[in-house]
Amino acid sequence: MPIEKIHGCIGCENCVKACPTDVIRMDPKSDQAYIAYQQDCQICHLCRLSCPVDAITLTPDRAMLPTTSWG
Amino acid sequence: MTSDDDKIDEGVSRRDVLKTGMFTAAALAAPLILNPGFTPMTAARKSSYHADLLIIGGGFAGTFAALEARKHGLSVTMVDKGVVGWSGMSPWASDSRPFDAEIYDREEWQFNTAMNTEYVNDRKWLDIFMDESLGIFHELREMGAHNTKPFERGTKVFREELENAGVTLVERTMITSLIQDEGGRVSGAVGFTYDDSKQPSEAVILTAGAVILCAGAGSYKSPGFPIWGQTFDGDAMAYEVGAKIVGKEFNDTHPTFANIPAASYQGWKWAQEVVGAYVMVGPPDKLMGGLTLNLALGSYSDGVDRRAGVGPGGEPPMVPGKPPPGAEERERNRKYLGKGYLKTPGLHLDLGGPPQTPPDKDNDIVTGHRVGGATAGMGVHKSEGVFCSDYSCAADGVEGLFAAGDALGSMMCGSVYPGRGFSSYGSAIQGRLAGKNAALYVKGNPAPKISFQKIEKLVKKMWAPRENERGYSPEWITATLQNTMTPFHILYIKDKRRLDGALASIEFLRQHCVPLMIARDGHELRTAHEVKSMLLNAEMKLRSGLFREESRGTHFREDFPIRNDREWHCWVTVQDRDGAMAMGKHMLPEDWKPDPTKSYRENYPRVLPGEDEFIRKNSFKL
Repeated sequence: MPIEKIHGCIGCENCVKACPTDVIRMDPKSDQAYIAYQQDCQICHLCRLSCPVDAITLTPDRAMLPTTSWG
Repeated sequence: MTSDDDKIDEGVSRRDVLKTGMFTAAALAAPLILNPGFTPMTAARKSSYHADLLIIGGGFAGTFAALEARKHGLSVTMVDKGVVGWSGMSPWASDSRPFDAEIYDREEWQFNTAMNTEYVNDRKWLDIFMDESLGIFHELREMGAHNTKPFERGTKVFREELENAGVTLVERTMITSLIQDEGGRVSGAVGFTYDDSKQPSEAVILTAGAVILCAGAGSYKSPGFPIWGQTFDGDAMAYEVGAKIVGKEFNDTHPTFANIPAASYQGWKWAQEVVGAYVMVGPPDKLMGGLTLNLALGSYSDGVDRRAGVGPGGEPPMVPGKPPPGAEERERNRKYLGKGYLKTPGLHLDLGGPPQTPPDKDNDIVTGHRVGGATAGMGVHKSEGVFCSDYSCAADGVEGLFAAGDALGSMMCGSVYPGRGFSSYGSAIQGRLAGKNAALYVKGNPAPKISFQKIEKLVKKMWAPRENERGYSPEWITATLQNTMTPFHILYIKDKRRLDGALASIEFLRQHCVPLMIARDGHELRTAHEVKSMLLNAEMKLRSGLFREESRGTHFREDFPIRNDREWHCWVTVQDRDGAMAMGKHMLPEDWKPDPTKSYRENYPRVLPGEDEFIRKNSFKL
């Protein structure tokens, strides 16, 4: 898993802006950031570096996508 | 710059393939999957912006271009796929390479760079670099960029400069096409907002008197390097309006770690942790310190940095009893330390070799073998992209289009990235030059005659994956592209048969799958357009690699393992010609060739595998 969880978000949106691959979005209901497209995380940690309350956990591993099924 | 001898690649043109492909496409209807987010986009909202100048991309090149254009009185819109300061490679740029004529020898820099990059680097661009880089160093210091970490330089310092200068920022907007006016002049771009979590995606129409592409380079989203935000979008847009694209046969060779190949940050945190910049001391090395093929092909194994004669791009054999190449230069560099501006407090002087990161728990995991492929698809910084032959940053043959930074194929670094510090400083220098020349262009020409019908067509094409009910997901196409292109025996160790095989697969994806891409939401529409750009780049890379029938720097042909200056002392360009990819040779000045009084091996000390045997067998005259 690359970006693993966001826990304790204060809703500043820094991580949404920092992510170069649009992995994180804001939930309009809770006004908190959530992981929307984990498969596109490149594990660059810019979200974590931008977070003022250290709410983001990442791991260095990534599962590669299988291409055995078509489409 | 002597001649530009364009040739159409002999082979099957796209039109022929399309004709015969009709039957295959029908047979392949079966794997099409349903688009769960199918939505007609005719009612999508539009936002429009107009300025004298549009800049696409907000890194080093874009920032310096925008600030320069504002100095010339132009109104400027800057559009960025992410957020200015955060996106692209700039948040990772930690190195600087100021050339100080009082300390360094210009000729030595030229000679060393030419040898390292195997004589196809643009020496005039390097001259411009040497003229301007110290100025950039001082300018960055005045901005306060030397007191920040790399990501803060963009997000705080550059951003504040842009806002203070009155540049309009349009962010989190994916640009898909350039707008051409009735006469073909580039006069804006269309794109869309992909973040549809609060409101649906909108079309974004940006019109201007000229456009500067500062959209960087790209990779095939291969794990291990923080470059996924860049997918050759600038090259793709420029190619579509008829620009020539250069330098695609060469490769970036950054490695990653076998035990955690995807961990970008762990491999690059040293670049993120420095405050200020690493100042590269002294001229680039003649052979070492560059991103040679060996770097990608396992030369880091067992803790040995570079082993003599191992693999393509192998370093020259060591002379017993003598210090390794580079030691002398490093010793000399140490003597520079006490001089002049290098005393600037807070800056880290780099004497060569990899930067030292203090050991910590995060770093413990990156002790495994290094493996290549971290940047698969990426070319050499400053040596792939939009071709400009007159040092103005204007795209050859396309009115109103300029490029700078990694989007410009300046060829300053030839076939091998010669050492750290050239990229960000080169981007800044080219950005400033593009800003100045685009300002002169806009002031010297009447306003473009924009056709709104043409814009509508581009917008319709842009939304297509949202409107396709059935098709192929961008995720699947991306994975298939990666599996086709990333293997080392395709991208790095080339051979005609293997390149042809990969080309057939890439062509198929471009012809049959791209028109049927589906996107369930704004994010997937972005990844759909990204993979379209990546596939175009893959075809350019394969065709350029096939076309250059020799080996040079990071381009290694198993079937042509020699440098052939007589026929290939040139740059290779690709250009759209009625839907087919036309290959071109741009021969380089005679006096850029290696010294004719020296032997082949003296000029090319890196020994390629099979090279001597090939020369013997073919009685090749060098």
